[in-house]
Amino acid sequence: MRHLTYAIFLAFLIGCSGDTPDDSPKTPEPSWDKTRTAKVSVLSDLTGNNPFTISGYSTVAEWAKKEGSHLLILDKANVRYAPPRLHPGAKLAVMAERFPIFVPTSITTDSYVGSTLLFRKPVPQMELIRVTDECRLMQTPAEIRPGLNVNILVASFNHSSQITGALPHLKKAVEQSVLVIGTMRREDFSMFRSALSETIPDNNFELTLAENNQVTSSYCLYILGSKKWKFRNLTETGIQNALKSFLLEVEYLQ
Amino acid sequence: MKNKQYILFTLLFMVFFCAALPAQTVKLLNMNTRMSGQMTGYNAAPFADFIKQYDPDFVTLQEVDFKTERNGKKDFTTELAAELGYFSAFGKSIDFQQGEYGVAILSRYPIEKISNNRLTGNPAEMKEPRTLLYVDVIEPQSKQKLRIAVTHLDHSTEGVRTSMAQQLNGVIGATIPTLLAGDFNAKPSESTITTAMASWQRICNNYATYPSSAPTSKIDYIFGKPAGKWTVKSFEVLTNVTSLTDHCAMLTEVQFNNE
Repeated sequence: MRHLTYAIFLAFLIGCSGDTPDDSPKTPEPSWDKTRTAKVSVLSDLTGNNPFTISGYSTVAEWAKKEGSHLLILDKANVRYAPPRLHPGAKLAVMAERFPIFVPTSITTDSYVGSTLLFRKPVPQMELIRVTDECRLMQTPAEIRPGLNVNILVASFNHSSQITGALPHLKKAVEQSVLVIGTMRREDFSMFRSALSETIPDNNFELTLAENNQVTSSYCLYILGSKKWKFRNLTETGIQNALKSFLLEVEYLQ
Repeated sequence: MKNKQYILFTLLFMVFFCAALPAQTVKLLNMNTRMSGQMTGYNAAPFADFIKQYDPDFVTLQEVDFKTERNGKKDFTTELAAELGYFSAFGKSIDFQQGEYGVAILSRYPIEKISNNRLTGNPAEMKEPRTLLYVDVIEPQSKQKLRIAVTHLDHSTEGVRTSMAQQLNGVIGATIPTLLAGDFNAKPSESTITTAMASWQRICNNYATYPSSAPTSKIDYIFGKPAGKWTVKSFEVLTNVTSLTDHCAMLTEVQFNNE
């Protein structure tokens, strides 16, 4: 009998509690304004290795010629400085009719590891942001549509110490509503989120791990920004072998 | 006691080693490409072959086209970078034939900063605006930041060139060790060189650089800043370029003395 009383009492309490998500008036989800959406293409295999092989240049270049994103990133287009020198990003840029800028992440005994950003025209002004001796970030403007200009910071890491070193720059980027996009080791992502929470007051940032099809890939794609930025979509397209295009669409809210 | 001796020896060795460590040598090649390869059918490959034999750290280039009608919409700078495996920057002087025309820099080391700066002069005299392009790099062994700059001054009048040289001095500043090379269109006795460039150290000599087939005029230069901080290990005017361009190339090896 006592148990029955408790059960009725609990049922009464639950019944009176009107604060469940289902009962609250819903704020309608703002519809996706594609005219305010930054499109960034990242070409990568998310393994941490250079996926750009000489035999695959023409396929990649043909693809790059046609794509229409605001920024095109060749992830881990590493530049071999030991003889014979090889700059895959420059090779692909010639074939894709783009202009390359290399952003280093680290250095090995024979190569600079990093990304090549491909632009439609030569870049007249730029300055990389120093994180560690070898790791750099690059911020670049992008015109989403006439009159709507944003800044995109490319920040890729292959070591947790680089993330730690980059935190002040990422905080500044978030405060200035710069969209941050990059790749990092998947195992570092939770540390990355925690470090951002400790660095940016009131968790005043949006961080998304863009879930690619292969959820066990060594590297992952992330998107970071202020609350003004809303990640909308990831489109994954195979280009050649394991190399894929990841088109990230991120809306700059009104 | 043994430990103390060991530490003392190690410290002395480190002091000696650091003092004996030579400053890093920098090799720079300068070329006016004669309309971005007009003499090679606008083909970048012969330039790449020429550059390869000298294996420079930096290449400064003048008269470079970016996707103009005359060069078949090619990006001369990136083609060279791709051939050589170098990093690159292009600096537009003017829009030209549906493309751009200007100067360029190739670098063995990743580029930290690109800055392209317009140079102007008295409009009544000036033929066209020109540019000063510079890049900053970190030389990996010494970790020294270096600024590599290139220009091609207007060939209209001495007044315009001097004004442009004064402007480039303001842009370059005085804090970062800098090598500046290019076609100044000015003879050594001109005020552009004697006055406007007086704060620079001359890396080159006064040997004629133009025309490459039988040089009679000195109009191409290499300068260093801060003055007195550069040791010129070698300097050559290269005349083996007659199939490529109408200017001689210049090659130098210098050392920056950071004391």
